[in-house]
Parts: sequence; structure tokens; C-alpha cells
Amino acid sequence: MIGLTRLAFLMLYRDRAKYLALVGGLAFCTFLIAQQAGVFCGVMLLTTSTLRNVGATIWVADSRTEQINSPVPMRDIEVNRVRSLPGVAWAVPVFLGVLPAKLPDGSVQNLQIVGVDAGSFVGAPKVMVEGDIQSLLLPEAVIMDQVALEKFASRGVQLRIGSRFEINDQEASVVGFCHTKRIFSGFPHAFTTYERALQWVPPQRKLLSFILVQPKPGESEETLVARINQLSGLEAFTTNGFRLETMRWFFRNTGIPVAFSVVVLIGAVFGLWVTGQAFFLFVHDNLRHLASMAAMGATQGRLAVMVMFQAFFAGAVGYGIGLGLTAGFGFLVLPAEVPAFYLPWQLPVTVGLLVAVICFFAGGLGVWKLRTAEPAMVFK
Amino acid sequence: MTAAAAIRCTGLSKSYGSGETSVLALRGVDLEAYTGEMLIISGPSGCGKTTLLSIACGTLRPDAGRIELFGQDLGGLGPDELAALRRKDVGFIFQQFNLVPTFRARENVAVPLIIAGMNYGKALRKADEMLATLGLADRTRHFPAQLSGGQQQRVAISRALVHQPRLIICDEPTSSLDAAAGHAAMQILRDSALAKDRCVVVVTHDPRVFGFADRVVTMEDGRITQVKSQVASKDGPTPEHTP
Ligand SMILES: Nc1ncnc2c1ncn2[C@@H]1O[C@H](COP(=O)(O)OP(=O)(O)O)[C@@H](O)[C@H]1O
Ligand SMILES: [Mg+2]
Repeated sequence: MIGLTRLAFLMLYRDRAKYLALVGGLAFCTFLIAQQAGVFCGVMLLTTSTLRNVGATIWVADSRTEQINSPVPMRDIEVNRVRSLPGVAWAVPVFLGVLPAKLPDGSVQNLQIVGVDAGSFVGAPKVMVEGDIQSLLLPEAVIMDQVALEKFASRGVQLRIGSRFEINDQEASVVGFCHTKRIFSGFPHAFTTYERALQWVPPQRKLLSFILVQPKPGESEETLVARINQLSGLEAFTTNGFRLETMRWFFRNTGIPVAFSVVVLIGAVFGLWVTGQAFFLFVHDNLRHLASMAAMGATQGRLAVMVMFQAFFAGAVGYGIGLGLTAGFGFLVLPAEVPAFYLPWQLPVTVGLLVAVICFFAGGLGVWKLRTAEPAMVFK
Repeated sequence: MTAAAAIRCTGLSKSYGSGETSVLALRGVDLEAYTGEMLIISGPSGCGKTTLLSIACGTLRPDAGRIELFGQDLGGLGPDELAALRRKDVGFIFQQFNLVPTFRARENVAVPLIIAGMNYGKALRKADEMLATLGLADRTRHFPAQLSGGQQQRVAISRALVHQPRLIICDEPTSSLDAAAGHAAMQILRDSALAKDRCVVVVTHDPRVFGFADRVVTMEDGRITQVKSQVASKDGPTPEHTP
């Protein structure tokens, strides 16, 4: 059988035009699907970046809050109510909101403000590049992220420690720099204390975005979430629950998933069509030779294995090239983080399975064609 | 010399299609072919030669009648058993050579060995030896398109002989060759293919090569009309004798 497989390989590989059409079609289809799905996963990841930038075990929100990027504000008093619930080790407020920063040239840049509890610094930047978090206690202090550096620089403002600008017409002074995960809106981050953030916003009755909660040791996250939901009238989420809830919101309320699904579907249908056709043609053109082999004593089963091998060989090579191109694309865009790109291991596996299905159908089509390769036809 | 029957067919009939378009290709054919002989089946185009040959070597089933190949009745065999039998006992030479264009000469010749399960490298070495025997030692790595018609035919003959089958089946082996190359191909068949324990059956409607055969069977409209035994000329028919 190994020998026949080698012959099958030669038959395919040396048929350059058809081999390239097959491999090219599969590579293109793999690249199209994996790359688009990767960008989609990247975008979906952006929608929940705040979960990682702020970081908390349990998030408590107003019950009308649907996703992390648009909190419905609560009254400050809710923090104390949650803090007093059984099983809560600590609970701190966090403010999340978008405020305009005015640059020296008069232009405006929206900032994602994160106001963290000044006592615990829960929610403060995870990766400091320059300066330290304690400096947030200084008057007018903000810590800016790499996106801010970039955006300000593009307007001719080189941010450094000590740089000053206005946030919502009030003075801010840069005390440090951090690195954050980019967020869906693309706005730069400005971290400050909860109290200072509230001074920057126009006064309102409710300004509390989320309450970040840590369960007591031994208390399970799920139980505590359920208890907070029951006792406070607010809505609590585990980090993972909130992530799924947010992604679900984007699925229900934006065209993003549909747009990407269409491209993926086109890729799959195109792949199936081109590959199926090219492979059918390949088997058709070699039918006479396959029939000769049948006359010379190769069983239909063995010929079927040869044809299937050819389909899957082309599939493996095409998939490899397509995935290589996808990885190349990833390495190209990842440093800039635009467009967003994320390739969880499930993605190549899924695309691989899809390619396998395509090859199975193409090969099956070939085997179906093979059925007509009567050994007696070789005498015709 | 008591030659064993390689092929023994009795009462073969075969029709193609059904209803009004049905064609009766064989109408009761009895035929025997023996080891050590070269048998030519001749007759006008469409008389059923190819059909008879296909049935006789186990690639096509008759509607009625009985075939024995080296004493074994093919009637009760399934497709895979028939394949196994052909793999071992039959060498094929097809009308258009049927060489795989993407295989080198040696790879084409090695096909029957590889089908029989021989190790790939060993099969190629055997193929090289076989090609050398037929004077193609310096053409083993050529693709069919790089060879002349006569050379391609020799590759095809090598492929039919390489696994030492007891029966060689040739359908119109000379029809795609010019007269000289056709004569040469028949000469090779007579010299290299024919052996004491081997039977060579050649279908042809080319009377110029009849002289190579030990017996010439003539068919007409699905029936055998004449069987002529003759003393085969060792070097084939001389040009003067050809009609
Ligand atoms: N697969 C087929 N389907 C229908 N008719 C066929 C088929 N093969 C052969 N025939 C018919 O059967 C008859 C005998 O054909 P064949 O054995 O090929 O003759 P020959 O080889 O002597 O030219 C012819 O009339 C031919 O048209
Ligand atoms: Mg014929």
C-alpha cells in the first residue's frame, strides 16, 4: 500500500497545473477563513479588554448593565451594601467613562478614564512602564498608556512625566506610563483615583460604574455571584461570565459577527467548490490510468485509498500554506495591534477540520467518479 | 508436448445496453488458448474481439458461458478475487499503451509489482532490469512523452512482463505504430513474451502480423468463424508474403 501511495503522490504532484490549482485553492480558503476569524477573535477580544485591564474576581453592576463597555451608573452607597454582604472579603468602586482631553494645539482626544480606589489601587494598571502606581495619590495625577503616547505624538505632543493637559477642562498631570490591552473604542487609557475621576465628570447623582469584589477565602465565585444578585438587586458577574455576556451583546447588537461569518462562509463555499471541481477534474483525467491499474489487479478499495490520499495530501499542503500565511499576517499586524488579531488554538483546529471535510468531499467525489473506472474500459 | 489450457471459454455470450439499443457483442463463443502458444484473434472492427479478450482475462463478466483461467473457474469469483488473479497471472498491453504520462518509464513498468505489494525501491530496480532486457537501459528515467511510439510500446511490453504473468493480453498492440515499429513490437512479443509456460493472446485486425501466430482465430459478428493453425515464422512474415 505504501508503494501505491507513492504512485498516487507522483500522479498528483507531477500534474503541476492541477496540483497547484488544488493546493492554491485550499491555501487561499484556509487563509481567508483563518485570517478573518483571527481578526474577528481579535475584535471580540477588544470588546472585553477592560476586564483584563482592570482585573477583578467579581464585577457587580446595575441590573440594567448589559456589557462592560457601557455601564449604567449606580449610587456610591451600593459599594457599602455589597461590602456588607456575607462572603465578601472586600468591595471597591471603579469609575469607567470617556472624557475629552484638550491638547495644546486645541484639538480634542477622547480618553478612557479608569478611576480606581485610592486605598487599595484595585483596578490600577497591571503593567507599569515608567513611574509607579502610588504616584496616583499626587495632586492631578494620571497614568497614561502606550496608546495615549502614540495618539498624542501623532498630534505633535510628546507626553512625558510632568506633562500637563486638560481633561474635561480640569488640570491633569502625567505621573507615569503603563501598558494596556487595546479596547474596542480605540481610546487611550488614563488611570486616576476614583475621587479625582468623579471631580472631572459633570456632577450627577450616580457615577459609580462597577463594584469590584473579592470573595472571602473558601467562598466560591459562583455562590457569591448568586448571593449578590439575590440580596442587592444589582447584577454580579464572574470575569468569565461578564466576558461571555459582553460578547453575546456584540453578537446580538452589532453586525460584526454576521459580517465576518459571511466572509468565512464564502471562504468555505469557495474552497469546497474550487477544490471539489479541481479534484474531480484530476480524477476524471486520470480515470484511464486508474482503470489500467484496476485491470492490472488493483482493487477498487485500494484505488479509493489512493484517491483519498491525493485529496488529503493536497489538503494538508494547502492548509499548511494557508496557515503559514495567516501566521505571517499575524506577525505583521501584532506589533501595531491594528487590526486586532487573535488566533486561539481552537481556530486552526476548526479550520483544519473544515479543510478535512472539504478534502473528504472532494476525495469522495473522486471515488464516486472512480466507480466508473471499469477495468474493461481500458481496452476502449 | 501437451500444452495446458491457459484460457478455456465455453458458450460465451455478451450484450451491451438493453431494449432497442442493445448490442449482442458475443453470440456463443468457445475458445481455448494454450501455454506456449501465441494466439491471434482477428476480424473486422466491431465483431467482438475486445469483448472476448476482456472476458477471457477476467475484466468483464459474460452474460452466459463459462471461463476458466489456468483451470480456475472465474464464475464464482468476486471482484477482489478477480483482481488478485489478474494481479498475479495477467500482463496487459493496451492499444494506446496507456502509460501514465506523469510516471517515468521505470515507474510505469513498476506498477504491476507495486500493485502486487512489492517494496517500492525493489520494484523500480526490477523495472530497470526489465527495461534493459528490451533495450531501454538508457531510457528508464524518461517520461512517456520523451519516448518514440516504438519505445513507448516497449515500455508497455516491459510493464506486461515484469511480474512474470502466465498470460499476456494485447489489444491491437500495433495499431498506433507504423508498419516497421509494429513488426518490431510483434517480434519482441514473440521473442520475449512467449515462453513454454506462458500464453500470449493478441487481438489485431492487421493481417501483416498474422504470421507471428501459432493459431489465428477469425471472428465475425460475435462468432468465431475460423481457427487456423500454422507454423509460426520465427522472424514473422516476410514482407513479400503480406497481402
Ligand atoms: N461498453 C459498450 N457499450 C455498448 N456497446 C458496446 C460496448 N463495448 C462494445 N460495444 C459494442 O459491442 C460490439 C463489439 O465491440 P468490440 O468487442 O469492442 O469489438 P472489436 O474489438 O472487435 O472492435 C460493437 O458493436 C460495439 O459497438
Ligand atoms: Mg477492439
